[in-house]
Amino acid sequence: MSSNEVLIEVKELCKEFKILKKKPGLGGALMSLFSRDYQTIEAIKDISFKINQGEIVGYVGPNGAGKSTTIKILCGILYPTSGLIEVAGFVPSVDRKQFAMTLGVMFGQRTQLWWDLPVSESFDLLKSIYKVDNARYKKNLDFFNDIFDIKEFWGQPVRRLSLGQRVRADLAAALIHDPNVLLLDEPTIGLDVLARSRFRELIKMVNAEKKTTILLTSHDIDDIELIVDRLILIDKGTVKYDGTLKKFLKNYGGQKKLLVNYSNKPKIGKIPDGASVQSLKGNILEIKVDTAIISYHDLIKVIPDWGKVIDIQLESDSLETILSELYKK
Amino acid sequence: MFVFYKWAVKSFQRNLAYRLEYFVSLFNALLYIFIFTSIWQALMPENGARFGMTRQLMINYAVFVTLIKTTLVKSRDMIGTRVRTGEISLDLIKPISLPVMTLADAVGTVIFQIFSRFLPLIIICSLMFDLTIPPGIDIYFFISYLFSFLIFHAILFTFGVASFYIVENFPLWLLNTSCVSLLSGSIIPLEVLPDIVKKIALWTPYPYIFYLPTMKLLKNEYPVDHAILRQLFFVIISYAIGLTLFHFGKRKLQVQGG
Repeated sequence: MSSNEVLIEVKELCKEFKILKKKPGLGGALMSLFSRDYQTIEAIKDISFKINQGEIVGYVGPNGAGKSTTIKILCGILYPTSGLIEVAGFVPSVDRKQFAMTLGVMFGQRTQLWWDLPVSESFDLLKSIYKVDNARYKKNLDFFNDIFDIKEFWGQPVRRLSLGQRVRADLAAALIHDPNVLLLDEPTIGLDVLARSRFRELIKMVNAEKKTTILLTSHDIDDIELIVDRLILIDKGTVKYDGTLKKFLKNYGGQKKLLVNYSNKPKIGKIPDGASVQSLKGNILEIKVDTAIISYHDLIKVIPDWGKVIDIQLESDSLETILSELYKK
Repeated sequence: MFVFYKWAVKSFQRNLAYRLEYFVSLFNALLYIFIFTSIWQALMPENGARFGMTRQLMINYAVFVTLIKTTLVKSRDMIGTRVRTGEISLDLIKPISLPVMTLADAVGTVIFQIFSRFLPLIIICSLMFDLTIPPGIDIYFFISYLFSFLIFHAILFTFGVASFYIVENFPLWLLNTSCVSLLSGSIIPLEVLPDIVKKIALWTPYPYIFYLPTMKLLKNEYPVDHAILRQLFFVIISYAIGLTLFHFGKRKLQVQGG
């Protein structure tokens, strides 16, 4: 879906926060009334990336990595300490109002809809705020109704909606003005399996239909695996990986396994370099494979020497396992 | 301008959402009027004047200042609450400035309060008390009332924006509430205060919120010279402070979860 036109450019981005150093105990608390020490925290140290128009990019990292801070800087809510940001030709913190017309944002834990009013009223207000003309408004509402079923709860106050309905309404609200860029911060948090799956379909559909550039942060690995083409992994405020999801899995998915089901208990002979036996449970042999040393092809030639093979399964680490290993480091 | 109007309308509609809240606040305002009129009934001499006011004038003051207060007062700190919960993010992603947004919201709320609280309350009060049509209802009163609203909004905006700097702005909010109670004339007219306090009060924006329009309404004259100009001065000063704090505060803002 992506073109070669760069829509988001982040260069050497840094964000520091000054926070109060808490002194321990009651004495410390009393002391801090008279003398206060501050410390500077680098939420983002040196982040650079470019995103082309129409790309769907997953922005992942452990808690406190700087994901939400980046999103809020990209929205123009927070000011960067240093570095350059350009989104759709605007510097978000400088041209905030004009830039906001081209931006759609959804924070999964918050709603931009008016809590006490029917959904329709919030959309009516957003139509005026984003200066959406009647024809485009109607066209977009029809489109969202087709894919989000928003008419189902159109007249209900937002406080009465289920979480799934609220998320659908919020996503439609973020897109009502056809933004070029859609930023999604934990959009599926709290949703059940069905609603999450539905949400992922919707995002892909919006990207396909409207060519919207999407940056997604999520702790739900399925969101990343099933939605994005490209992954940016950050940790401690710096970029650890930026590339396709496929390449990431290839490069970091070190743990590859062969599960071999023999007809009888196998008699394991010489194990080739690059392979090691992980376990033998009954007739099932689990072999860890380092494909940089030995290929599956060569290993599979040796395996029948140890017994009659009924079935062979290839397994590699899931994205979740890879990420959790990387986060631990 | 159209967005401003739409926002104000939504604010009006939102205020209509809860029936119980509406009736309780109406009852609450009645209680206040009852308390203050009872106090003045007891304190003021039946004949003659005290603090330069007769008993009837003081009772009328208690009724009308509470009615004006009912239309203007908002008990919640919208900006401070939204900074604490992180919802301020959702306001700042919109192509509309926060000061304009809060002003539109306040206009919607005030119009709602005029129609839904002020009107029923004045009917009830005219039955309960010996009220006459105040002599000061004219264009100058409405200008005064408009400036009162703007000063009050600017002050609340300023104290709200303080949360951009210190996050927990509740103590400042309390301080503001105390200043409103003491200096704005919302509980006692400035005549009752010691001279020195009254002089100091007139150098702050607070008396120009409730005391000034109420006195104009009741006496058809302003208690200070150049009253409207003074109000305008405080409108400009209050907004200048609030907007400057907002301008620099945006750089200091920290939002929960980032």
